[in-house]
Amino acid sequence: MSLAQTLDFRTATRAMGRAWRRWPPMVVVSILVVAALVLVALTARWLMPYELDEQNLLNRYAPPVFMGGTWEHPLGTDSLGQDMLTLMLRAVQVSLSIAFLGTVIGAVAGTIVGFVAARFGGWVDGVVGVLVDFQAALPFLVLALALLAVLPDADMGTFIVLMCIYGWERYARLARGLAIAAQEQGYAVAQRALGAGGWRIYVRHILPNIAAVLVVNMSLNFPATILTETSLNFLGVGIEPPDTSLGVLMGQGRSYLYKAPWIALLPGLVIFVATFAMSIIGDWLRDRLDVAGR
Amino acid sequence: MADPPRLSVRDARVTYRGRGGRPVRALDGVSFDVAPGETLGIVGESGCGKSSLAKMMVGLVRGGEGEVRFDGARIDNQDAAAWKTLRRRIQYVFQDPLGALDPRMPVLAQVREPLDIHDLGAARERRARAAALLESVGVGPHLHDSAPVEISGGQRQRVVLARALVLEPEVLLCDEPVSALDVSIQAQILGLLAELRDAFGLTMLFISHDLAVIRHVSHRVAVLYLGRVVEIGDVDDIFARPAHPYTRALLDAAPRIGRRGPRLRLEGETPSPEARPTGCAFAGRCPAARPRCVEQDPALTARADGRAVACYFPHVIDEAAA
Amino acid sequence: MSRRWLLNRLGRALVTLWLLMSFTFVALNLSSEPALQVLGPDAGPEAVADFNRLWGLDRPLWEQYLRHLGRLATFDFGLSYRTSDPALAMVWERVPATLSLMLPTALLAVAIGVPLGVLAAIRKNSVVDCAAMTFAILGFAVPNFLVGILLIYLFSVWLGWLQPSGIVDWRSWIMPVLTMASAEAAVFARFARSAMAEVLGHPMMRTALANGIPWSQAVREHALPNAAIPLITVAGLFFGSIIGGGVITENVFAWPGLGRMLVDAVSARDYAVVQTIVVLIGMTMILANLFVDLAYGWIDPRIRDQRQ
Repeated sequence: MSLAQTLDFRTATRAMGRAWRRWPPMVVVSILVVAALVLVALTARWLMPYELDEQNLLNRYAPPVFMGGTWEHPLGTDSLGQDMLTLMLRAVQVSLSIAFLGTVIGAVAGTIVGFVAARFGGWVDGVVGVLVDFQAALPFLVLALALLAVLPDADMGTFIVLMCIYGWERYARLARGLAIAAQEQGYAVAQRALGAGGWRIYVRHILPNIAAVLVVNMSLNFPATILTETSLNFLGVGIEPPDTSLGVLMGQGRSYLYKAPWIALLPGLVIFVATFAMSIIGDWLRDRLDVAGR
Repeated sequence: MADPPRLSVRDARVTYRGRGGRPVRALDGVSFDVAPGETLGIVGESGCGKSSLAKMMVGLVRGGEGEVRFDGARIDNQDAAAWKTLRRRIQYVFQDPLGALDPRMPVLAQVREPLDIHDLGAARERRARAAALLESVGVGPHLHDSAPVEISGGQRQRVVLARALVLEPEVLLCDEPVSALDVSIQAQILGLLAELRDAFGLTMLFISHDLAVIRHVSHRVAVLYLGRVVEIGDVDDIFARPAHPYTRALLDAAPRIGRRGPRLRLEGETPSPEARPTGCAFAGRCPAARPRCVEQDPALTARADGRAVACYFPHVIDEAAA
Repeated sequence: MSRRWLLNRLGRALVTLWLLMSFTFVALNLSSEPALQVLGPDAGPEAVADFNRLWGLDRPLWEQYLRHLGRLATFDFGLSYRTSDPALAMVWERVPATLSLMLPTALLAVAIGVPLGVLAAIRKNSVVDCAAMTFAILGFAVPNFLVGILLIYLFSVWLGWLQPSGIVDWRSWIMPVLTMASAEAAVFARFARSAMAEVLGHPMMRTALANGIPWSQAVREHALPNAAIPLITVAGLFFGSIIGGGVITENVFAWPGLGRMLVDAVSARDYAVVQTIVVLIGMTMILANLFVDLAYGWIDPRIRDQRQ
């Protein structure tokens, strides 16, 4: 091997080593998993082999193929003879939509509130502080249960709102703290000296500078959002049939653990895979972008 | 009547809230004028109120009081809309160029931004204008897309200067613009500043703790001690014959070739503005202090030679040595 | 600790308490016509009027609000919509069962999580570290109810060793406590590791080692006490998460505690009981957060100076 070739080989392996460190296999797998779930959620409507409310009481508790079932119902059927694959597709779609929309809307709202608190200070800041305190004074699950007790007929929209309420406080605290810190930084003062108005500084300068922290927190918080939604629905006080979610399916399935364990375990597996993959991605993003978690 | 001074400051005060909410006066009744095209140096130790003064003049601190006039018109009591127009005419250069630049924005965009803020010119012109200014401060096109962390400290301060000048201001307030730079770079930036001043016809306020730097760029100089002016006058005049013992001490602290007479060294520390002593604030450290200095506070008094000094016994050190 | 800071902190706790009580009022008024929900949609107008008079729902809103605050302040939580028993007594009856789950859970979580995290930090990037962090992510990613159901599947369905629900004998505690503790231990391990790693990287440790203090002594005397400070914060968070986790776990194992009662009351829209539980949990949390803050200020002088 010539010297040039050796050098070439070395750079190549070093580049591979770098790529390996930049893209650990676990992270790549996690990204693929999340991408696949998102794809399923987006195309669920066309993938469903049956109608969502199609029951067949003559074919209840049919096992999935890997437990000796037939391809008629690849993931088996539930206690009403509904096709599990159809239910699972809809459940993934609903749960991911709630988690995604809830996280994004909550983050946007929270960031705006945090900026408002930082910008105006005084009593506005005080009110935001009291609201944050209040939310810290009640485990969110309990708060959500109290609201579900009075809100009629919960559906996907209700849960998106609930997840916003769950998340806003975290981003409000973060955005407020970061904005106040950034205001003290030279560049924000320098912008004021140039004649820039308050909001211009926030949107054009402070926001891009803290966006990384906010995005990392969104990804770190995403699994917790999925868990909160599925927990509430697992308890049976959320979304009503015929609509479903991963939590609803598990909650229904737990009564048939002896007879038909797949009803509870299949959605459980999907919840686990989704939250695990998102946790890995979140941790990796945090380390990669080098921002503190809290 | 003669034209009004370009800048005029009367009885400027800045009060901060100290520990436990007690007010702390960082700037305590400072007055001066700056003529068009003139550069006034402001010198003093850290904590004497230099930065508060500059920030107060452009409304960047809370708790500022006093009258600031620009071409004879008051600006300290203007509303936000009026300030926005004013900021086109008065620009500010910060001490720490890295901090003053947005860490995520390419430098060309940052120089262009003031034009966006004030909505000046068409989009393409803005870009060309920003590029031209960068060129004139010696930052070439190859650096246009660099982030602030990717260029050197001197280049960063050049970018900050370009950003300040892109609005074609009449007044430039420089707050320690070179103190964060290496000495060799300092000279370049000071040279550039002098060049730009002549090219743009700028009136400048130049703040520094470094007398050598002040002397390099200023026409007149004001010496600040504990939030007050203790001596103000022509720069060569003051450097040749300081009247206030504090000015003398500052000059003696700087290395100088061909020094004559004894060297005055300061003992003790600057008193805190929270506990301003009665009488002359400098009395406690002044080697020539007499009972009167502790009892009464000397006012800044104009003299026939165009200087103003706040000392009962000016030139006392020189006389003692003679 | 300055009196000012103390008063400020107490004031904030009181405002939070007031907000909590107002929240229950607003939530109650969000519900559409509680009379119909309790009496059923076929209730006659007279029955509805009677119900409203009984609950004071026919008064002006501000009067209802003041009465509401007054009642809560005197611990008068009213009667259950469903059984007409005093709500507070009903709820109180369930407290011991819940506490009997929480205490062993807390002990187990700390006993597993903290040593695991500290060990992981000391042996960073070792097998122990890797295992501890995998456990931490798993504990975070696997929902309580999934752990519970897997345990039931394993021990009850498959092996047939344990009763899946209710309190039968001492073995009934095994699965619920394991379920809750696994999640909490993961949180403790995560925090203990990062707190410990930070302290170990502190120049103070280098100085101590450079001064010739043996490594184990330096860890014991300098690193551990300093790493304990952030752990107090976790204790505050822990309290909230163990209550949330308790609600789910109790429902998985049909445990006769507060959490199960809460979910049953929500399903039955028995708002008096829901409100009682919410206010009690909120009050406990406010007190716990207050204590955490006080402990913080007491232990760490930096915090109390900052907050003044």
